[in-house]
Amino acid sequence: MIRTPPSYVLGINARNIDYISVYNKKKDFPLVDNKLTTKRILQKAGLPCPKLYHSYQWFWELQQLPEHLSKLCNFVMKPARGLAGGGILVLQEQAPDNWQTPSGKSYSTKRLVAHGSDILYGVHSIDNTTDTVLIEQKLNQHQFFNNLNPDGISDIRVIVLDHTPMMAMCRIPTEESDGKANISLGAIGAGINMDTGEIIHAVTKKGSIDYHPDSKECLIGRHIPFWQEIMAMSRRIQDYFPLGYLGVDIVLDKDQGPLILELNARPGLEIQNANREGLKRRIERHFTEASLWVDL
Amino acid sequence: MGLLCAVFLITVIYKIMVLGYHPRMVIPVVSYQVKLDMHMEGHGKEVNIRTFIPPSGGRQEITQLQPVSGSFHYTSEQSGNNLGARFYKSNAKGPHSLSLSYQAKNKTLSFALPESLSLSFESLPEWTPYLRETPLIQVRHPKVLALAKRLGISGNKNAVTIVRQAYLYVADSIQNAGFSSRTSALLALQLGEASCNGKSRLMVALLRHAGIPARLVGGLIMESGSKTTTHQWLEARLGGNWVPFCPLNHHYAEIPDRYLTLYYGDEAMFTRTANINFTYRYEMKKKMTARTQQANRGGVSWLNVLNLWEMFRQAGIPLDLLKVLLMIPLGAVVIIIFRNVIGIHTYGTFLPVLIATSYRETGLFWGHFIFVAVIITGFAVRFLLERFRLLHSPKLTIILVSVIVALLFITVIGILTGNKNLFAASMFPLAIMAITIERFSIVAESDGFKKAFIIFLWTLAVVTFCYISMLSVLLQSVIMAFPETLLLIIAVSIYLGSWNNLRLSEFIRFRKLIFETAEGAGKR
Repeated sequence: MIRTPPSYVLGINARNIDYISVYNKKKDFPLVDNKLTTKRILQKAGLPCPKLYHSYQWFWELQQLPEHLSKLCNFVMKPARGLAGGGILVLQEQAPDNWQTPSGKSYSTKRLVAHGSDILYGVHSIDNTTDTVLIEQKLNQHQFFNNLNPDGISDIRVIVLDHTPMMAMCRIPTEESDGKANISLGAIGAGINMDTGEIIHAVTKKGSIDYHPDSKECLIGRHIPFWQEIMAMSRRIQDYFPLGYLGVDIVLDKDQGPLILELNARPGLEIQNANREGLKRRIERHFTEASLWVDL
Repeated sequence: MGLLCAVFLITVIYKIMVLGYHPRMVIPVVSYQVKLDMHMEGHGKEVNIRTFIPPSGGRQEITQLQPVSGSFHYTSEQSGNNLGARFYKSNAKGPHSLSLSYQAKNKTLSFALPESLSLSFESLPEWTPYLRETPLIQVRHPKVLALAKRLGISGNKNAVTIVRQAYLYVADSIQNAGFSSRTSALLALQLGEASCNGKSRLMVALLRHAGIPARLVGGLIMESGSKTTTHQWLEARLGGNWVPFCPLNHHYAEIPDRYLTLYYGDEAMFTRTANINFTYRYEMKKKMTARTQQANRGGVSWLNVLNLWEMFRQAGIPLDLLKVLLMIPLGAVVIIIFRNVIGIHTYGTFLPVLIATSYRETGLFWGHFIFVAVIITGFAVRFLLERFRLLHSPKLTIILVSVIVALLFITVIGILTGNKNLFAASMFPLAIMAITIERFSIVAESDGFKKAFIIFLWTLAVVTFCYISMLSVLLQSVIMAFPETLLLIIAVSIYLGSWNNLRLSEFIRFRKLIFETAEGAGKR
């Protein structure tokens, strides 16, 4: 039995042909593929994002890393053009010269310099060319997500088409996903009502769920805090980025509220499973409503 | 797109109607790789083995003749109508293996005999050998005479009637027997049953009796596999031609393309020194190749692509290679369908096409074997390299070296074990294999080894499909005769390039979304 006509579902072919190639120009991709560029534009626009402490583009700059780290007690180290979350380290100072990741791995400052040079070499970059090291603020995750899963950072993905948020979900890490907000690794994708910010449906790669498998917290019916701010931020993004079809990744900080973590010019399609609705239908409905307004 | 299809149709129709292209051109040529393996044991004395090399010319095209004589002395010598192959060693001791291999491309030979053909007694001395009595072909024996009289052969002036009567009697009234010993014409007649040689001798005896020159032909019925059974049939001189008959397998005035002629006359397949424990075996492999040359009335028209192939041939460009190159776009279309319509991920967009191309020499099974072996080696090397944290290109270079070493190693193994399929390992695209290993490792790192392995299995599956479609001799023949098929490939690519429907795999990915499941329906 057909629940949603297949024509309502956005597939990779239609996404690439009808949306990405229409709304996103090739030359604008680097604006979002490089997190440092993205961050600079966001800061200029006054859109909130995690604070950047330092960036290193050249090997000789890495010599300053130990001195810079000595002034921090926690931070995130990541490549500016990383591939699928590779090379990201979240670190907390445990003892002098002993940094620890949430999963308990220890890093000495010397090892972190080595990791930094790996990033510069391009080991973790999308195309294996040289990259930039970013040292940025470690998030203090908001209580809402900490209640669901304290061992990892959850994020909110909003698909924005031409200044209009079309569909949203939050990605909540699980033990299986090893604290990563990656659905293909086992994280939860939870669809959100665009008007109210309420979680309406949730999936893992195995199927629909109502409860977080580790914390047993019920997901359905919860309201994402700061929802109206999140929507407002999402609407504003395309005033500053010339890409008309974007995935906006937002995290919630205890003190600063919603922060834009990164943008994606080729957002994935799993969001449709999380919402149990086809994206194409949402978009078409939006356009027919918009044209009705014009007619009035 | 419509334009491309129109141009395609117009050129195809033009070629068929005006240039005289024939559908037969797309039927592949069948040829056989024949190898005669011989084994013997010498006792320190002189050993002589003589057999026949199939004559080339007429209905039979023999190429790539290759004797493997080891320490034996090999000579080939013409004797009468036949070409002999002689292996000789003055002091052969212990076991020895010899072989003679060649490729045979034969045509069916068939004659339409007229209703009547007057019997012209060939009195010239050159026909006497074909009319004479021999110890095994008893032309003048009373029993043969009686039979000839009974069949209405004696005194008949119509050569066609004689031939038909003799054929019908030998083919139908003499039972086919399985024994392989030499049977004379008389013995076949007396027993009422015989194998190929007895039947053929009896028919030769009847024809010679009536004054029609006739001779035995010895050869082989070619079919894939190995066998020791050789075959004999006969030819009669009618209307200035040697017309073939095989009373055993009921071929009247014709022989099929599977018949390989090795010698003419009542000869023995092997003439050799006695007591050397001689054994032999024919190994045959059927090969299908696309047609590349065809006489036709297209002439010098620039649309006649056959002229172009002829030009390439004269310039020494191997057409076999060209054929495979022309098939690459077809393989690419297969990939597009797998990626964009079915939704299967493989390593490298066109990697499967290139891999499939290199399977040309190895075949599917050994090709997969080489590919898998090299990827495993490379992955292991890549894994060991991990700790050195090298830059991308130097790391790829090291993987490349390991790929080359692995391929050479496989080639050596192939030579040592005599597995010819492995010889072509060094033809594999090295750099592309190295990049595949790198991609495999990256996917294994970011999405887990299982995912990387699944993509690898899909890659193998797509390679298989590319191989099947690209090495299809029928499709090769079509593309060689009608290279404008490439226009169709462009048209299909344009169509698929703007095809924005759900991929097949997405129906599975979004199944919960698209299809109402009992569980989902009850839940909300």
